[in-house]
Amino acid sequence: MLGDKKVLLIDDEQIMHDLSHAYLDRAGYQLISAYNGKSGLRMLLSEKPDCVLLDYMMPGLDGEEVFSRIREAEEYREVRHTPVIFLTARGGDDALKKRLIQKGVIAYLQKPFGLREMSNILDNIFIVNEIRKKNRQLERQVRTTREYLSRVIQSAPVGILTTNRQGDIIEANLKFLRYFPQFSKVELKRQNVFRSDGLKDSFVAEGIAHVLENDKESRRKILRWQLPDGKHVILTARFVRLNPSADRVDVGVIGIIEDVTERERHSYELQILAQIALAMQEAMALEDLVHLMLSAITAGQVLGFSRAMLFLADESTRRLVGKMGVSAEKSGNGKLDWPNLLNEPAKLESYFRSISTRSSPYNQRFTRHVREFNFSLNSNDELLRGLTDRKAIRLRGGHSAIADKLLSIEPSVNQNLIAVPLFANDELLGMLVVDAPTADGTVDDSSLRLLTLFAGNAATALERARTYEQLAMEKSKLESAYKELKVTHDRLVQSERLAAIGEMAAHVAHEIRNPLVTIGGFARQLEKRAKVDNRENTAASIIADEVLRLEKILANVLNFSRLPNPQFRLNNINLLIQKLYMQVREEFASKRITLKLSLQPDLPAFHFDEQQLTQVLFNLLRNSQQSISDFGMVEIQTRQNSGTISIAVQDDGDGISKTELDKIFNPFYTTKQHGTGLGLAISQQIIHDHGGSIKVTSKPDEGTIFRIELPLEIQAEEKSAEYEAGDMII
Amino acid sequence: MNNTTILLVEDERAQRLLYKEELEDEGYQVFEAKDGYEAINIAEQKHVDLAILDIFLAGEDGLELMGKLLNINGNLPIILHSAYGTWKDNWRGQVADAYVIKSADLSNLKTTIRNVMLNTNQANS
Repeated sequence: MLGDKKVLLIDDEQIMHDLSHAYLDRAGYQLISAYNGKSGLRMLLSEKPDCVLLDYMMPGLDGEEVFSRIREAEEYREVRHTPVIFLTARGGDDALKKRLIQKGVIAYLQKPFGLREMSNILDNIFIVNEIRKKNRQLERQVRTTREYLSRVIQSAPVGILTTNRQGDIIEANLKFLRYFPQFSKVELKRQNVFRSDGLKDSFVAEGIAHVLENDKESRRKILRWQLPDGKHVILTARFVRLNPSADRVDVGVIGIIEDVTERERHSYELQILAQIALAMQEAMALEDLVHLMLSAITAGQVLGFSRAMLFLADESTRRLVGKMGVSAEKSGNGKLDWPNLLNEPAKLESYFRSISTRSSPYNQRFTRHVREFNFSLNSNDELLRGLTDRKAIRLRGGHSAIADKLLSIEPSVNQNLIAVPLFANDELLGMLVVDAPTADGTVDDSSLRLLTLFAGNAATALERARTYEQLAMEKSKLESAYKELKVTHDRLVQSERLAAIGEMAAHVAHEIRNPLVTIGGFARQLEKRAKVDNRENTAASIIADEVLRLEKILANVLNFSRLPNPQFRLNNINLLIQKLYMQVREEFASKRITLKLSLQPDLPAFHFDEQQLTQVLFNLLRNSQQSISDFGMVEIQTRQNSGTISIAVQDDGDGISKTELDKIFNPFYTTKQHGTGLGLAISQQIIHDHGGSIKVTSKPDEGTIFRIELPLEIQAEEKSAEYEAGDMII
Repeated sequence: MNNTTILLVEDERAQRLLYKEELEDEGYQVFEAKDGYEAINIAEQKHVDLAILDIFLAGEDGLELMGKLLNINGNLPIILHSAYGTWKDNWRGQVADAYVIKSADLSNLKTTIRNVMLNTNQANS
């Protein structure tokens, strides 16, 4: 094992060299020889032996001197640690031995010594030396590792602290000291976290205790911490067990503390922006959205601007028009507790909902001021140019007329306004103007960045709300079209129902008419053939009369159900009324009813079915006449309106109650004992067939007015009733 | 009185009886037919001065029958007699000399018969 070891023997006696050679060569050492101190030193440098055997007593440089030079002279630095064994004859000189050992001599052999003894010593020395060398290497490694670790800890961007299992601080970096500046670095190292005044109740002691007690790492904890300068920071602290393998003695804890204030603030700001954006997306009405937008800008510390105004671009007039203004202090938004709202999304949501309905009197006044603002977008104003370049602009007086006007909106408040354009799809929708949140009027970059982000969201929401308003308009148009359609449809259904009723009535009427003919006919025969008046004769006569009445009803029903299409001819309505007047005048007079005509002279002739309109007016006159028990007046008026002729039939009869009024046009509805309930239904049908309308107003005991409007130009298409399905040609 | 013969086509027995009695009271000679088949038989075998046709006959259309009767005698005066007013305005109905809507009051029918016969006699003489 030692075979390749080189041993330098420095001795002036040849015999020592010869013997040593003889023996050490066999033991596997390589022996090199020097015969005086000087050459010994030379060979030490050139041969670099693993061990030196040095004779104490030599002429010239003696052994002790040689040893001193090896250990001290700069030129022997390289070989300074070469083990040296003294060979001496001064066996009893204990003082010398002590001195040499103190100087670092590893061993000495007292002459005369056995060669085996020398070999053993050499063996031991080499073993010991090997161990020492390794130890030195290890120590170096440990030292560099420690230094490395320390450098890492010191330069880490987080606060780091390590303790042993008793809580004594082993290491703490400068970043850590930032949170506990009452200690200096040296002082801190002497502290125990569980006993020191500054630490024992802190999150540090708590975290370390947690790890030591539970033998596992503590959860990452986010906490607020106030620095001695009063600044609040948000920290995350995490404590981990060091040397987690259980059999190691040196167990301790490392604590890592990080300042996440900026990160948390950004994430928090973005969270709020996201919430606001969400709320804005949900606000449908433009007014609500604008209010929400401005309130959000002025609420709390996030955007935290003290006032906000919105101006909207009007596409059609190319003008920028003031829309709304909101001030934080005056609306109470300034006290908003964002952090708590964020923790409870439901509250935040309801807050946003409530925002849209709140408007303080101050803000109403403010809004009025803002609304006075109105500028052309086509002007070459510096502010407008900046806006179209999509820049946020700090307003200064004297550069832009618009800016000057804005600054004058409320000169009592600070003058640090910022205008931000609202763009959606390359279209300038408007401009937000806010003023700085701080008293000195400065706005930091992060506020500006947030405001720009916010403006992006706001523009999208505005664009959407506008689209929504357009949609709402379209919707209301559609709705009214639908309503019209529904009315038409209802009318159609009604007339279809009437047609169905009519068809059924016609069928029934015809079927009834046949037996009636037989009944009535024979009753007449009976009546006719009876020679004298008797009861049978009277009965037969009643049957015959009643049958005739039934036939009349049937004729009416059939008339209604098969109402022919109007035969439009150019006729004069006044003439028709005058003819009718002549027919009924006497009958009216006999009942002491005055029939009065108020006809507008020179009415133009227009197309109508004379027979059908006579029927309508006759129905109306008969109704009026029947509503007057005795003494009364009925008046017929005609008048020309734009495009229509109106005819009114007015009486001062009994009138019609409100409930009856709704039903009087229904077929078969009648209040009369012998009525068919078809007169007004037929009249209405005829007027509708003429493309006109008939309306009634009435008050019980005051009278009734029927008003007919007929178009001067016919629009109803001419329907041909001449051929019907099932017709056969002979 | 007079020898005017009337062909009465009516599928309802009770009505047929009513018209026959009433018309005979007026002095006419009445041939009854309850359907087209009987009506054509009579028209072919007997002298008929006037035909009164119900339009809706069981199994046959009175208008169709009118065509057949006119084939036998092109000068035969015809009165259409119906509970329905429908055919009054129809040009096929207007081929007939008259159109009477059925009523328990037969005076209208009787007047019409007299008028039609008067017209026919005037045209013939």
